[in-house]
Amino acid sequence: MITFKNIHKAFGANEVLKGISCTIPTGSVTVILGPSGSGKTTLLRSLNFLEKADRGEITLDDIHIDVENVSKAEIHQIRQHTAMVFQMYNLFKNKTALENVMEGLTVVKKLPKAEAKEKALYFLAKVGLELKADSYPHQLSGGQQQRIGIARALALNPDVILFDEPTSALDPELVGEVLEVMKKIAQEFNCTMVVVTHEISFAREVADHIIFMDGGVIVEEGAPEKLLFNPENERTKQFLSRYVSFTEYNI
Amino acid sequence: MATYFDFSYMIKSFPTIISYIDITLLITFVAVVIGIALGSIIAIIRINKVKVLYQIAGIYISFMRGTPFLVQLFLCYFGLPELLQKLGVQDIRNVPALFYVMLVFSLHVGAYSSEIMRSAILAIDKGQIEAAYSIGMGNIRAYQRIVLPQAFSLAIPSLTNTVISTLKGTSLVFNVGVIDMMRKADLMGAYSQRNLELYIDVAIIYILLCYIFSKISQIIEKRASYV
Amino acid sequence: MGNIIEFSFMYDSFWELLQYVPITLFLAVTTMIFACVLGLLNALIQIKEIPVLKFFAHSYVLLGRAVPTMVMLYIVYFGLPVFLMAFTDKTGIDTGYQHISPIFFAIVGLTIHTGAYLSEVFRSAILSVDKGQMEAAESIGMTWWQGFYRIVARQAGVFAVPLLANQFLDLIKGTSLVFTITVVELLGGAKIACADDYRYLERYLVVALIYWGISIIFEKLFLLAERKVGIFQKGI
Repeated sequence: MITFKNIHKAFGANEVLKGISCTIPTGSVTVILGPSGSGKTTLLRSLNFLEKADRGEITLDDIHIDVENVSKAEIHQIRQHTAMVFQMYNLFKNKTALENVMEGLTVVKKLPKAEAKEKALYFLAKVGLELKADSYPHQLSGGQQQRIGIARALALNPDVILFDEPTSALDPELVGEVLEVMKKIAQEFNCTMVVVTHEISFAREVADHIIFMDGGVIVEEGAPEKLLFNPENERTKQFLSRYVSFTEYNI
Repeated sequence: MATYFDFSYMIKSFPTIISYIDITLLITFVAVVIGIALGSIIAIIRINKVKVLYQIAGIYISFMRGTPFLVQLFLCYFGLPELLQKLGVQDIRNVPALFYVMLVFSLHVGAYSSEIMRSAILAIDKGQIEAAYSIGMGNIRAYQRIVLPQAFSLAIPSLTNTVISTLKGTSLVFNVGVIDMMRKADLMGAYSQRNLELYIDVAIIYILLCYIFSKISQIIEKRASYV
Repeated sequence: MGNIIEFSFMYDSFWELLQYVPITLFLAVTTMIFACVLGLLNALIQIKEIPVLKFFAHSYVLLGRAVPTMVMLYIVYFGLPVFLMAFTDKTGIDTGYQHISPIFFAIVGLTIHTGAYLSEVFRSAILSVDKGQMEAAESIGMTWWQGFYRIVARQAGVFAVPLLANQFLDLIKGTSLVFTITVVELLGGAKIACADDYRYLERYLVVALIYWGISIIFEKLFLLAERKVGIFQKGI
């Protein structure tokens, strides 16, 4: 279970997170929605300390961290339990697809090379790319790179996988294949998935829990059926009206 | 501490050393002006692949960049008079050392700046020269009024590096009998045995000059910007 | 042409002077190795923004590049013995400063000079690597050093090779200065021989050709290295 307590973060004079508190249930698929600049990516990245929040508390299962006094060891610890899928994929450019997936297994999990290779091939197959094992990232399409990024994260068997706008940088035709893989993971694996995305259909079909953020605060949160079709807050309604027609679902 | 390092001697000698800065600046100035002009011409020759001259320029550039500057200096100062004498040129002894120094420096700067100008000229939008032709300008005019001024503007950072390199290169001319700061430091040091302090003075002067040159270059870059 | 430039003499000088090439190469290679270590350390100090040290690192880059090689060599040649003498006197540890070979001064001087340039080469190479690469490495639990060594440094290395090549070629040319502090390398050997027979023109031409040849050979070698290291890149 992930808990954020009163998280504040400012970039210079710009306050991006204004006291965020929320809980993300274990094993859930939680989607964070919101307009640009709402702070959703910053919140996600503050969990694995790629952004260091200014104040507040973060809890992941039995790891409690006071953000202001966080130690290097604590950051390292939390990163052992999480993995991230990036908007720009961030595959290691100097490694093949297979090596990318193996990297975490050999260096961080300290598995022997043969075992790591086996596992890596398994996860590459899971995302449908076992044939591209020896290709370098620059030889692959965006969608393929992103799927490998997902395999890389999965292979580590993390408690939480963080998805930072995983499809935003993809050509429209490639978005579908990545969302399919993400759906598959939600069904087959029981890690917690926290997804920042604009893909409302994904949220509707796969999410257990949705958090809507705007202007650095959580405006509303709840189950998809409730939040997407019967939002309470005006701002939520306004945001969603671009994607969902409410009259359609009025009973 | 006086036996290890004499700080007051270092300060006292400073004015004497810096009084020889004129020759350093003179050589740098002449070399840069002639060198960049030469380099621009060579760049144009290389871009337009003028027969014969193109190959000669290529060899010249490779030679100037592939051999140490000090060797070029020696070749020019010791070897050239010998060559000219053998070719029958009279009165070779009256030519001052400074002439050979200026010659070598100019040729050296010419080679390096030709590569810089070449990439700067190539970086300029082809449309510029097409527009110049279309209003009736000939090749020379087009280059002179349109292409070269813009190329210079682009080339300023790299040319600054070349200028600073040239400035530092002047620290070698004492090897061919020119009396500059280095030679003065050498002479004073032989007498006082305080070489370290004197060469630190020289180092400080070069550091100040480099700083001044980069500042000037930044100002020129701002003024000459066409963007 | 034969009585202007005597080619047979040039041919003989060539073989005579070839004996000095190993010293030149030794100076260049040794210096390059030390300067790489120094430059990399200096670059990392600036990148990791280590307090206090980063100020010195930055100053070193500025000063090391502003002082001419010749002046740097003299400062090391005159200054290092004094420094070691003071050290010996103050601490009683015998550093043997009276018997240091001038080659040592040459290498130290050239290293200090080249290290400042290499520091900038490494720094810009490391900064040229996409930030996301390190983020990805850290996100899967690697330490900064693991991410740097396995991912960032290798990509930076490819970027750095042509720049390192330039510096090495400059270094080969820089070794021609060390005869002024009594190290007998290629140019020094030629100068000594010229004192006997005054045949400057032919000899210095040979010296120039030897340096030229060395430069061209190393240029080609570096191009090969660049290709080999960068297989994972597009268009190499």
